[in-house]
Amino acid sequence: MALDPRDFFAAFTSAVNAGDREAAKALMHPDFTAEIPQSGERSHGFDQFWAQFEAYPGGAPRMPAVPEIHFIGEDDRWAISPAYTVVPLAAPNVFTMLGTTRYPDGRVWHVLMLVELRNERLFRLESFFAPELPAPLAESIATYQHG
Amino acid sequence: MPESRQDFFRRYVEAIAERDFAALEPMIHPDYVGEYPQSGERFRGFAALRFQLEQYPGGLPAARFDDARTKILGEEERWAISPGYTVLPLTGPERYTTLSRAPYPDGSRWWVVSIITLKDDKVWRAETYFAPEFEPPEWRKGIVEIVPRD
Repeated sequence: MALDPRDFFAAFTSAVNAGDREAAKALMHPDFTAEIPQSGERSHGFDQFWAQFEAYPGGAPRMPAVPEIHFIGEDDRWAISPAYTVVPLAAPNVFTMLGTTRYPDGRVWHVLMLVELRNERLFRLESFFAPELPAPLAESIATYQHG
Repeated sequence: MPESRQDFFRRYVEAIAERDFAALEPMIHPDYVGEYPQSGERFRGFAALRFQLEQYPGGLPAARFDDARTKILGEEERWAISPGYTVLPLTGPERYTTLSRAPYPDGSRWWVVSIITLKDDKVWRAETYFAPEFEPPEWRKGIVEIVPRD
């Protein structure tokens, strides 16, 4: 049976938010890579990922819980075989996840994660952070104070 | 031969960047809804899309599809073998995540992530996020590798 991405990420976010290092590590691929293209940051492996959580000034913001996450790409696709059996095509393993998180300063940011699973573990994570801004957004972008 | 989704999104991004509304309008579904969840804005139909592109303060970002960082997720074709051994494209929700990096007229760069749903081969829903570039925080520099962005 194909891995249910919601079950996977429920376990992962629960482990991270609880600070359960061993549980989080068990869900991560040995060749895990995380990237934040906005800043050019890239980390490799579980230890670098976890070190960022531990070193976060004021405490790392909690990861959005799965019920709050919008998954895109999770739809299963099915094929009818020549023998009239219905078989799943290759299980989708690439997702876009949308959620929000509140930082210690009270600001809310949208978090977009492009995720790839491999061997039922987290293999690639590319994250983007978009701040909530006043409408009209175009004007907010034009006057945005880059910090 | 039908146009690939890659080519479709190339035309879409370029039509927006160049304000080529004659090229853009046929790509937009009559029931189009666009959203900016960061600000809670929602606009309906091509006219509203055109208006907000025309009124963009400071000029539109110069997004280009040829940027090496541009990508589309969800573009892979899925196929089924029918009982008659013919190969058929599967139907399903045509949702794509497009990712591009846009230089703005003020010199800043923003990552633009769009969740786009196609219907009848046109853009039916577009949920777009804008993520500003920023310098890596000092406290993370000892932990992560910094990859040049340009």
